[in-house]
Amino acid sequence: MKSFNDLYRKSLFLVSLFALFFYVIPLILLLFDGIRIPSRSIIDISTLLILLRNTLILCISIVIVILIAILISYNLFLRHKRISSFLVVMLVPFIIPCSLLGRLAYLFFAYDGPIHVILSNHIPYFDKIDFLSSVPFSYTLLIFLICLSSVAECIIYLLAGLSRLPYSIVEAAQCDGATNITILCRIVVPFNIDSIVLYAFSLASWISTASYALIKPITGGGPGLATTTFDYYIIRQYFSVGGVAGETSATIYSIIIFVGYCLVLIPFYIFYRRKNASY
Amino acid sequence: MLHTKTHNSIFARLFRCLIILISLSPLLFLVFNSLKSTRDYLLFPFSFPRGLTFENYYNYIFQFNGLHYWLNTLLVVTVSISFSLLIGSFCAFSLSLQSKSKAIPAIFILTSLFFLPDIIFIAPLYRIFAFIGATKGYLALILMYIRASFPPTVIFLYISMAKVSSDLYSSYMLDGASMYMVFFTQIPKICSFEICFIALYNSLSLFKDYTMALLFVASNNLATVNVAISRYLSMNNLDFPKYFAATIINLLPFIIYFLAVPIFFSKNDWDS
Repeated sequence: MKSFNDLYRKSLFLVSLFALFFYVIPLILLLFDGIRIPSRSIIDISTLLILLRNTLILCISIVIVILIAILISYNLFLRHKRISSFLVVMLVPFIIPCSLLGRLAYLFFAYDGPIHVILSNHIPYFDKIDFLSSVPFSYTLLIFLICLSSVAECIIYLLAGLSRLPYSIVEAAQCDGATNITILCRIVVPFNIDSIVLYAFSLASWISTASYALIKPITGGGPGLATTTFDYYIIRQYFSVGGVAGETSATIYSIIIFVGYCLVLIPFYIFYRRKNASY
Repeated sequence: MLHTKTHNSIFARLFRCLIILISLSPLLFLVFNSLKSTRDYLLFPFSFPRGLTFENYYNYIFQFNGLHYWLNTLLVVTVSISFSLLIGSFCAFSLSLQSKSKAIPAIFILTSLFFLPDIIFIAPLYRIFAFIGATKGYLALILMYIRASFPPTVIFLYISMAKVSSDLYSSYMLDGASMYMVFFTQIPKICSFEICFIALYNSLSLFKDYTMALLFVASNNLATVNVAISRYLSMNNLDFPKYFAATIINLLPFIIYFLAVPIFFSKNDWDS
């Protein structure tokens, strides 16, 4: 027992060291920089709203991904399968890095790309149109790519959640005459809501703060700030604009994201702990 | 027995075919066009290759020295994964020996850290690493990768190790083994599936990384594959088949992973 406690103390020390070096010190540095920023460089509200709008538009993909994943995972669940060749095929876009997927999409739809060449050869109207300079088209393409690369991962999440659902409940519902749609809406989705919320949250987090690799090759965040998300803006400010202005702006936006995440995470955990109070 | 009649409808089949087509099209497009000459690609981008040419692969491997960047990535990912697995499995093991009331706070902290977006910490960490001179080599990138893979490793391994009864470890100790001996000799046997899974999962996400590799490695010679390939593209502006060949070579670890996962899952119990 003594050795158990000894190991426990050492592991707590390691976890604390990890949190201190990678999170606490950088956060203190960030907040310290934030305090030193003069009041005249307080955030530009219009830019913040644009970034928020862009992120929300891309979040449409979360709805699409979850809908497709629910249907497919329910299908697999009904067939008593945890993995299928279909799911393995769907993993292909997931294993391709986002930067490569983005660059491939760019090559497809660029002005001199194959899609444009074929379309403009047959329909002269397309000759003058550059797909990627059109903001609605760029968003559609980005949403499509996010869906393509996330569906398989979402299915795995949902299947993991569904593994806790006893088949007997579904069979009992079927005996009572419930259709598959009813079972899906009344039993499967409410039962699996934890996994759905968790995945939606992690995908939203990815879109708002880690989609740089996907967006950069396709639109470069443009035209203007039209397809720029928070992470793209911070990276551009810090590493491209540089200097005091760039660093200040990057710092402010980083603090805003941190505060925003705390505001989302804290109620989420309170809800989760209440729900699992017995655990 | 559950009924599944509606899932074999024509719409379900069409939907499935459409998804398979969409899922496979990027990879097939890459493979077919990497085997074409530039002229063939520009004339017939969506056709099968008429005559196979491996010149694009040759150019990337021998002229651009593409394997060098591949090995760079392998080195960084292997070192990072090894460290995070070693430290993470140790933490998970020692937490799993405690009661839930003691272990949950640490897991709670790690889960919270896992959810915090990396982008918040990129600028301050970059400053710290630049200050200590870590960005000149791989140290900064390795630390960033350890940072990314440590929390999921601990959380995932804790969940699986908590299922093992601590009586088992006590019996080993009664036989004279120390806890470290149990950790280094028995844990790899008991949790081999989980350790392999989390190693594969983490290595995939690290191999896919572009942003960290771009920001935290200063030297061109030390670039990882995803960064090198973007430079290769800018060098060969309109020569897309060369770029596709480079992409296919760089996708090799993912293709191996793709082939390994179904075999891996079919041989192991998914529920575990």
